[in-house]
Amino acid sequence: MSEERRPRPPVLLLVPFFVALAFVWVVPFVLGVRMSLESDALYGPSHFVGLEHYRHLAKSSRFQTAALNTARYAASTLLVVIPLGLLLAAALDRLPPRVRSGAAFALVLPALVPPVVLALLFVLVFAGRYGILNQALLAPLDIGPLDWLKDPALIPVSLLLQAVWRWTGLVSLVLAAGLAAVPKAYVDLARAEGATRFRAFRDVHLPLLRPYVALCAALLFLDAFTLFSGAYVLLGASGGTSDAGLLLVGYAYQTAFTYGRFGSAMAGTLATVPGVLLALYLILRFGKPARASG
Amino acid sequence: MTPLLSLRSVGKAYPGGVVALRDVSLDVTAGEIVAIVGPSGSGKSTLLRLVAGLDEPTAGEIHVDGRPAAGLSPRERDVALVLQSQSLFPHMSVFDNMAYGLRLRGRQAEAKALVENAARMLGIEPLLARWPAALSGGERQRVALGRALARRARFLLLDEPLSSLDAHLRAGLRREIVRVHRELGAVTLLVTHDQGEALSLADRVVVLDHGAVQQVGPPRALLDQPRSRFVAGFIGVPAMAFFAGRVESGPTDAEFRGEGWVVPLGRSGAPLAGRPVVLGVRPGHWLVGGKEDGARTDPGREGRVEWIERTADGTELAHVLVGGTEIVIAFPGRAPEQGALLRLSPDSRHAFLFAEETGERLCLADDPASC
Amino acid sequence: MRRLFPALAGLALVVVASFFAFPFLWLLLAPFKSDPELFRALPLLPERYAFDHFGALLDGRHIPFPRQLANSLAVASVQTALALALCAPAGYVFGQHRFRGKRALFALGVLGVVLPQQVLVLPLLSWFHELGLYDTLVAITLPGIASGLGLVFFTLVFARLPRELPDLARAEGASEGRVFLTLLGVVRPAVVSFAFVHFVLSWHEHLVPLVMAGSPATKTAPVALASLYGSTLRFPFGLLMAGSVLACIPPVALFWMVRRRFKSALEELVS
Repeated sequence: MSEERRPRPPVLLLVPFFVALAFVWVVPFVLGVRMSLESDALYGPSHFVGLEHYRHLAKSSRFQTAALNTARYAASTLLVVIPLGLLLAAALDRLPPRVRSGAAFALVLPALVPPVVLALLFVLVFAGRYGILNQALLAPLDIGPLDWLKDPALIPVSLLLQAVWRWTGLVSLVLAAGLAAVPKAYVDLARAEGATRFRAFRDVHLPLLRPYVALCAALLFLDAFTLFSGAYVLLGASGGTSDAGLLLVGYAYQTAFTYGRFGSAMAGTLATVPGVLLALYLILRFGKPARASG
Repeated sequence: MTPLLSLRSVGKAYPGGVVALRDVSLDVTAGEIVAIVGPSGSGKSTLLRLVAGLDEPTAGEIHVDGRPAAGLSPRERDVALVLQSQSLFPHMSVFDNMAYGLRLRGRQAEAKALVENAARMLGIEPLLARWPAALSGGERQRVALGRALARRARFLLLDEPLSSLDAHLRAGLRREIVRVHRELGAVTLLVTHDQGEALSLADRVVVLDHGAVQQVGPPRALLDQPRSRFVAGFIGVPAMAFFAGRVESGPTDAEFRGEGWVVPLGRSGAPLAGRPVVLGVRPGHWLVGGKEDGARTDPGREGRVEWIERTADGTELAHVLVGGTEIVIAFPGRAPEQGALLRLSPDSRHAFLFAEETGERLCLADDPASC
Repeated sequence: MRRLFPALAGLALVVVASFFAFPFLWLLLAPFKSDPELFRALPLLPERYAFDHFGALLDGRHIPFPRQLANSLAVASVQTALALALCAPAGYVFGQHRFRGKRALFALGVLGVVLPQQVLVLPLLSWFHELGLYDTLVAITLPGIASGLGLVFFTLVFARLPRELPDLARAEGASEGRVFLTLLGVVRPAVVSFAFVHFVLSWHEHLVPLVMAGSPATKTAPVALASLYGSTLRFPFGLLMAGSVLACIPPVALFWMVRRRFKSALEELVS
């Protein structure tokens, strides 16, 4: 047993953070819960209605659409951005150092653009007949003008493309750092045991990349969950045709400010929290598999 | 018996002009343990990588079992690698680590039996379900050896396998290395910076310096018949003492004169007269007399014992100051006390002469053993 | 087949690079184009390089854009400074000390990551309205200061420091506060990185400023641009693009300034 004389923890250094937390998070959280249990009015009298709003959610097709859209958006983002980022990261590894720095700078830039700006830009790209995408890419290929922002089938694709453009670069940099962190000795070992270079990548690099993938997945997931600008600017507060672009934050915003039903909006938001926690927990477990240490 | 491994004038140069290895030639037969020693940067690990097939030589050829090895992957050469610290995959269990090579070769079915057998032989069966992070350094290296054993590899390539282990664990692991080597009948190449390890384990030792082979031979030959000043100074602890001087021819015999020492060389030294040379004397090859012993033919020089160093095996080393230079003398038993005055002279029967310019050992004509 | 690989990879890289670079190029050239020009894919370059749109925005005749840019700057800077001041000390305590209830307290701090300010924007609105803070920059700045991400980040950063370092400072007679300040110097790249990331996130924030700002003079730049787009089609799109370019400058400029520190911090975190 070690005789460690640790100095008393400086509680004073903790106080500012938690005081601020209480003020800007705990109080709003409590208020939010109360709001979800009361009738809909932001200002003025309201009375307790219990779980009425939550019950309503179960029947609300709008809410379910929003939840489903968000889930689908999150999943598609993860499934496209991470593999693309991995490919880019592997390619980055092969570049000479000078080029690599330049490439790294270029890869971070898309993430620096405010989401609003990106959305405005993509308005130009995705616009109906005269959008850049339709003109530059598809017309030459003789694919008829696609209504990216109005066609419910294409709206999710537009959102996905925004996310891909925005995040792939950053994800590739994180994964490249992870690849660089793999000790060369393990690769030598794998090859000595008989693995081809590709097999060694699969057996050594990929498993050791898990924590990095998990980090990217967590950030992408949270971003998807809180996405507002992308949908709001492109599609307006309504969420686009048949709500194809309605995401959870958009749902809450619409319910609160367009329909004036604050209690419902809050209930909708809070109801998704367990799902988010579960997803994050799963991502964490993926990143740090519990190994029996015996 | 045809050598299992054959290197002919093998060289490795990197873009930018760095030459890691030059003109290395070596034949190793199955069942031999060859130790590769040398200072840092001498190319030891590079040599191992070339044999393993992880890198290709830029000059010369490597032959494995009579066939040219160029283009043969490590898998086809059937090598097993044991490294200094990262010898197990951290994300696989011990069993999976040991079975990895077998699985790659499609020998899934037999893997379990082979791994368990190997584990039993090394006494690591209880560790099979555990993870590398939970193992001690010694256990990890045992598992790495077990991996080679399970696969019955033809080549056992070890790169400083014991350097990260506590001293008292090394002896046990050394035994295991020899056991596995014998069981496999493999060609074992052991890279180490620990000469003691090399001299005690190896059938032959390769001494490298700046990428070039200085000498290859059984341990005894390196100690008693070093081919160059480098080898003489590198092998043997404590190190040999060197004195620069010339061979002078006297009326009857030649003698070495340098740094205040006069050492008779006998008639055989005559051909070397006039040459600048370096005399080398090992700590155990000094003739010591007390101050009173002045009646000897060769009075030697006087020195004073500055301090006594005791080694772990009981030898006592006296650090003696003679004419401003410190000389280390080994005493199998008790050394004279600190402060004592001694008369010293090198034992000319066991002294070495090296050419000043090339470092090459010079032969004394009537001493057949000296060449 | 093996020889084809680098060629294919090179081609793929060019395609990917264009996918990323083209929108940027477009953005930079867009403010100079008239509306019909904007909606044409080619030619790429505008007919004339007039700074009319920039002028129209910056002299405030449609919206008080310079003021709004300044708002964004103020909010992002103050919020970042506060977040640093709150999260770094807390991260030090969590990373280098043990005490009862540490886990629970840490979990509380981290909950903010799962329930970020966007989620609580409605009760925040109600709460700040009650406090009379509605339509102020304070209301926009405050919600983001207790950053859960910051807490996690700094806890990790300080936890990775060897125990010997603070012990050394303590042996020299430093108080815990002094120890913290000393260690802060050791982790400077991490501090710079966090400041940079937080600044950018704050600059980008849309929902909270949108909800908290009632009047144009309080809006932040991204919000102003969004409402400019949404309001009517009276304004030339080029105006929006000019504003967009201006809104991109601070984050990019900041990144350029910190790129070296950021890179070394990333490498340290990785090793």
